[in-house]
Amino acid sequence: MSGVRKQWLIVGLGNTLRGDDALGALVIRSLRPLVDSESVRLMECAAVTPELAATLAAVDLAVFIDASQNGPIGRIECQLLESETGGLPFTHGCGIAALPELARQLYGRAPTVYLLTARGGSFDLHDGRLSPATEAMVRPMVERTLALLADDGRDR
Amino acid sequence: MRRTITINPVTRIEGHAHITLHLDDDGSVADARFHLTQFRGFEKFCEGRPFPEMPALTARTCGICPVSHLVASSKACDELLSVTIPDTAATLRRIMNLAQLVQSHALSFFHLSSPDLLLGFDSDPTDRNIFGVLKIDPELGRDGIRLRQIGQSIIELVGGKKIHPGWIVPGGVAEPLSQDKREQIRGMLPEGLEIARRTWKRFRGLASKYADEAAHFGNFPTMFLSLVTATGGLEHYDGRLRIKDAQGNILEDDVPGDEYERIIGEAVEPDSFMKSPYYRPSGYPSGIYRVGPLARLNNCDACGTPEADEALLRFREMGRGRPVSSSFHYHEARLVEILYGIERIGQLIDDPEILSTQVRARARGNRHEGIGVAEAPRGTLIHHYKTDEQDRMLWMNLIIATGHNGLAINRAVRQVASQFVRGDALEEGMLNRVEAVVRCFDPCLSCASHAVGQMPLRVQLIAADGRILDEQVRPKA
Repeated sequence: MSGVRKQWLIVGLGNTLRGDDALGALVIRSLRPLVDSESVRLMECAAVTPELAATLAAVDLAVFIDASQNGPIGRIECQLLESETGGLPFTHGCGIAALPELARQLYGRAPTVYLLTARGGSFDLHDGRLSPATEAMVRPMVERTLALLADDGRDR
Repeated sequence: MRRTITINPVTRIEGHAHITLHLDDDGSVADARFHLTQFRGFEKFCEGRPFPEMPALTARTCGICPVSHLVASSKACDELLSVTIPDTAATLRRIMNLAQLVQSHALSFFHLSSPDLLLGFDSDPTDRNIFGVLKIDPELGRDGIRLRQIGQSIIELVGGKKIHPGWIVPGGVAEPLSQDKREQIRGMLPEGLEIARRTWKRFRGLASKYADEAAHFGNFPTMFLSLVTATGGLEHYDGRLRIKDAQGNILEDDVPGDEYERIIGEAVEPDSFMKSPYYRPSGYPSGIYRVGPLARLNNCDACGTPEADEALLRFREMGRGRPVSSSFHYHEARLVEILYGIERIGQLIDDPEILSTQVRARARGNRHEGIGVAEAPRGTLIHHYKTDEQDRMLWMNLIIATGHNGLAINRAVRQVASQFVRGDALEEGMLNRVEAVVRCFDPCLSCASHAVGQMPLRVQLIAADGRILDEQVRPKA
């Protein structure tokens, strides 16, 4: 076992002013007291930008957390992101799936990237408060994220 | 039979718009229009709000250049307070404004326009994106990301957030700069300057490959509007308005921002939510002018920093004694301004008073009208406010940088379409050129920073009776 500590990145996506879109940010805030800041970097992002590729290239595992408009209610969807390169009409944002390939091409390495989503109910204007059903997903999201980190930690 | 081609949406710009090309019977372009299809309504929904809220509210106009709105709005509010803000506050505002200039220009050049410039306007559209660029020049990709990071990091260091920092406030700034943050900013500048230098040198070589595009991408005589310093130098935060004509004669100089209405009129086109400002003495639409990096470099006497001044001399060689007229050269002008921005931040951060804790003047509203003018990355930005006795907003007028360029964008689209589009054969390369001339201006059409996923380009050739004669959709299914 190497003495080098693994580095992990957790990104909460979404706009905290848009109802359940704040889910990612609120999960990040719940995680903050539970993780070791030496090995886990927590970020809140309103949008996925190309600059994240540089951050991604420096970690061993990344987990993106987002509210979705589709999918089963009350259940977490966990997706291992595959590389995406073709046909991306690049603007100032980019798709999450494009990030690992961008990191690989630019910096020569990319971590395993998971996307955790839970369906949101309302994305109307609302200041940082979730609907009750989405609020109930914060704790499971936190636990699922910690479980992914624990699994990756055992792999080293 | 008169026909219309619609390009909707235009890709690789900030916001959403479409272009219509109107063809004559023989398939030649008779007219072309650039339509902004979003309605924002900031001027209306800000009415009745307390004026100190304006910097934070109006910054939401844009997720790319919120700092520009913070600066212009706070300057308008400074006037409403009737205060002169502390010198250190003005210097800190300048640093943030320049950091935004750097990151925004980097976004435009590296992320939005480099696929055209490196891969070619006729290249396969499925490759003509950042991944295509990375295949042939990964260093350019890394440079673009790093330069953006540097600009955004400086904004975050001084303002607390990369996007929508609430740190620029009426009367100054909310917090002074710490020594630690000063050193962090200093530490990033050499790398930023090296990237800027390298990119500028590389692009000068590329521009010669696109002589045809340079000749037809919005290459026509117009006036140019920008701020300049009291001595005619390049200016982005304060200064006075200057207008030059296409021959380089100064038509207006030393115009205070408060007098913008004397020289700028505003027209409205029936098919766009974008206003069309014009030089008032010349009338509408003859009073067409351009703003932004091309205008700033054409208008100023010098940049005031060593490497940017050297680059300015090279830039001006293209004008042969006159202002540089092709909108294609906005790209190079942006690179010169990135050089300037980094050099100038280096000068400002060394100001011995930069750590002063006197950074805010406090007052209640003392006037009922205030005007703030600053240079956003895309050009001159004007915020004009009127308030009532309770300091609530009665009226607001915003003239956005991209709006100033509205008439020129329309004309540029028409010129490119006339040169490259033949209506009986819709080819990818010619349509991309029509989009690319819009990208030269780097229009910022909204605060929409949440794109994109797949952003399709749909082009339809429509007969006068409404029949679709031809259609292309990008990307193909």
